[in-house]
Amino acid sequence: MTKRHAFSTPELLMTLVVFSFGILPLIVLFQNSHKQTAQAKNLMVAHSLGRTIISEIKALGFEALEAEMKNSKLGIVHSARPVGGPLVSDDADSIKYPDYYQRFNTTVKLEKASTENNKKIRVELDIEWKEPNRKFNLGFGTVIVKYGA
Amino acid sequence: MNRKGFAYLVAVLILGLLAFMGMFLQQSSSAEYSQAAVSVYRTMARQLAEAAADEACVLLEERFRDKTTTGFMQQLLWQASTAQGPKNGGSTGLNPTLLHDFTDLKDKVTQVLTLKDYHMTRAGFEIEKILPNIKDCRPIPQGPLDNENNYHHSPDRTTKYDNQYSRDWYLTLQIEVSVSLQKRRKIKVDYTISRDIKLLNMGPIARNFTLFSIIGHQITSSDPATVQTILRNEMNTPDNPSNPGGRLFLWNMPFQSRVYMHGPSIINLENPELASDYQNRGAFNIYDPKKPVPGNNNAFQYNDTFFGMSYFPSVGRAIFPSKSMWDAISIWWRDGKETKDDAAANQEIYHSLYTHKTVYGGVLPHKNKSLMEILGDVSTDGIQDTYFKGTNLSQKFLPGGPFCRTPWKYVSATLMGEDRYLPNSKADFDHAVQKKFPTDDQHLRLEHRWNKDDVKVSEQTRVFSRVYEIKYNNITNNINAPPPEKHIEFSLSYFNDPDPEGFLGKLGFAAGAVGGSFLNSLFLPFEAIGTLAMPLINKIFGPGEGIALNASEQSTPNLYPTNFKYNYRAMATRKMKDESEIPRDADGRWVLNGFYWLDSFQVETPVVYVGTGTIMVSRFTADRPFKIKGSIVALKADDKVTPLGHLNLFYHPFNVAVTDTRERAMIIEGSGNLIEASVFSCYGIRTTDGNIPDLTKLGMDPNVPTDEWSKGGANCISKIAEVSNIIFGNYVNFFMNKHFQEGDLWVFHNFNSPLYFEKTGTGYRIAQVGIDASEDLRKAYELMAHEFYLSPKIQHVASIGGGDD
Repeated sequence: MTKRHAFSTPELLMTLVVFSFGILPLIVLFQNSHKQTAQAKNLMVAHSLGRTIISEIKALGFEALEAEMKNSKLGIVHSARPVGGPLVSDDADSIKYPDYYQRFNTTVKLEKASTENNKKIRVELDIEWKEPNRKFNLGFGTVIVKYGA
Repeated sequence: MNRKGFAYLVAVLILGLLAFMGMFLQQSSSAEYSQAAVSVYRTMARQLAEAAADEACVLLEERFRDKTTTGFMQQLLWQASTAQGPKNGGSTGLNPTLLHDFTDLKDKVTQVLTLKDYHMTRAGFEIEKILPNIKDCRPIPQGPLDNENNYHHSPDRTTKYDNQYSRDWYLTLQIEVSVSLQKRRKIKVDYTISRDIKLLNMGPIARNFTLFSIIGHQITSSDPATVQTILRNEMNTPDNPSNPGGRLFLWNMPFQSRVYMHGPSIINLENPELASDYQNRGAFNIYDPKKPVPGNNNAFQYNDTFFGMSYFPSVGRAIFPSKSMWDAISIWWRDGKETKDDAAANQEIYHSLYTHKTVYGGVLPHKNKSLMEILGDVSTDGIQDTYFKGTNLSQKFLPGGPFCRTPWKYVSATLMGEDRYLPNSKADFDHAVQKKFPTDDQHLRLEHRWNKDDVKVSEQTRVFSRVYEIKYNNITNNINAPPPEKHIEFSLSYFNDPDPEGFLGKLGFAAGAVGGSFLNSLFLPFEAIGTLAMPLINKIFGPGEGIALNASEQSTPNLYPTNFKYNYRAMATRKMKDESEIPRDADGRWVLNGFYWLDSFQVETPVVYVGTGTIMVSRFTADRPFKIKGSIVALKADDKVTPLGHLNLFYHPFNVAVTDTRERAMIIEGSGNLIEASVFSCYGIRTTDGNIPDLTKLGMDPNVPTDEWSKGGANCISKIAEVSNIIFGNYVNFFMNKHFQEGDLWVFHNFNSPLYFEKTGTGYRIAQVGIDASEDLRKAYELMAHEFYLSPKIQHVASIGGGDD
């Protein structure tokens, strides 16, 4: 009788069954890892957008924002707007936001606390995007103040 | 077959390996996500900290600007007054300690708290602290002006006008913020910023003076003839008789406003008697029945007033009449004429000034002459007085209406000051008792540089008044024989000559004997001028654009007016290209809020300003010289006269190498310009238009009291503002350069501004009176004059923390 060195079919089948049972949670594990990595990436993109947009708004200063609140010319205040287009809108050579950024929607609100204390404008930035299983959003914000009388 | 389940083992091992890899991957991706989240939270925390620091700064700025007892301004100002420079103040300066609620602001930044609690909620941020502190307070260095002796000290005062409260300071505001994540207490961002603060005296320059000329004449030569021409032309007759130039009118508050012009100089007064013959020549206000109508330049001095200090044609030319004498002689001289119409009519306007009757006194001093010699010989022809020669085609240190009739009072060192010079003195001329010249004279006077501690300098800088010309029979016993019509002209010259009263004698002249041509052959002590006047400015300011500290600076005791700065660049709070960058409010008004340093300045249209500020230009730009064509006025309070704020205009295009400085003078173009400001111009002002040939057409009727001048139309000031040029504030220059004026210029001491005058129930009182009266009033004024400025720029920023370890 020839000595058989290979696994028998039942062995292989059993192994495959066992392996399959074992691999399924692992696949889920990998999927989750992939999702988390993607979420982390999106979070970093949102982080970057949050820093950029808040810095842009801060750079405008109180007077410009106050004017914007009365009569919007720059379109600072907006709701659920996808991120896209050039980084500097009036510069033809400006770097453009990658298409990937289109999935991020930004909302900006400008608020003054009260008429008595009108030297401060509260800026609220909300960045929202979809993850595979849910919507995700991050809130950024700052306060722009007016110095002087 | 010996099967030992190796395949299962391999499968399990592979699974195990995969599981391990999967777990590792899971852990890795989880850590990646966590790190990303931490990174986001760190950014959020930093943004919150920045916002909290900004909001805290604004809250503090409001408190620092608050001048009430609950604000920080008072505490800061009083403490800053004790700060010293590095020499005496140590290496760190003063660290003020504010009381009240200058503590943790973490519960007061409402906007940031709203952000934290309702918008940036993901990480559970907590603001642990927002701690402010102020430190490193020092006076802004002003070179030689750090020595208060270099500020003007009027001889009638025992103290300077300003003191330690009047300075300017810089210091630092530091804010420390800590923001942590409630969910991860280990993560905390510590954020620290500091900002510059300047605490500046924004009051008028030379607030007590309608005119303050720091150097006076710009003498660029030591050639005697040139010096003579300069002195004569600058203040009196320009070279070109067909274009005699504009006049300078100083409209002073009687007995309160001061005028300073650094000598030497020749200044002429007015002569109403020469109305028809010599429209613009002048000496004294003499009522001449033959010529009852004064010249068009003389309306101010001509009427029945004596509280308005009109000169009186009586014993002693240039003597202000005493009341009793005035009454007696006026009745005698002008029989049947009602006296003191103007005084009575203006009683409410003059109000308390009635108690200041030192205007009774005054005589031109002469070192070597007795009073009687000065007054002239009494003969059968009457009192013969010595008159003084001068020419005056354009110079007007005239007075105005209800505010002043003449800008100065003469001080007689020779006579040791009769008691009639004393405030409130009622002493009659003839019975005056010699007293020391009053030390508390509040009244209007021509001042001069004076150093009480330096006998030599004091001697060298005395006012010297000399009268030129001729004998003039001004009073005779025979009223039917009126005075001969001679030129009654007057010039006042004062010098920084070591022996001013003797210089004419040295040159072979004798007063009273040289006649009308005297001035033409007058040689001034040019050596002294060359030594004292011109090099002075060279020593002070170096060449080039600015007002840089000059290593070779020298002290110049008693020279500069109050609130004049040496180191103006250090005062600046904003640098701008030109006037177009000055912030405006919604109504187009300039928003003055600090010390604006501009490259150039040209106003082409009228502008209204709000707030308090200084506009400085320190360079000359040939294609864009400093020019004002249009009024610059302050927004007014509800009473429609009190300015809501104050403006200092400062133009200093000094360059020691430039000899033709005409183009560097401040230009006031056209007419109808009203500039409500304290104006400094290094090389003086060049008006291009605005002459008023006939003042009577503005309603100035010499035949009626001044309070009736407004009848039948708008008041005089408004009319002047329409057709001439007005500085409503005061005027300061380095060099007078009066001959640059092509049109009239009126300077009204701004009686409506609390930075110049205090408005009492019935009139005005110069602010200095209150300042001198008590420490509390001094503080109240300084509090009003000082402004707090917080730089929006971050001077220093530091941030640590934010990790999760």
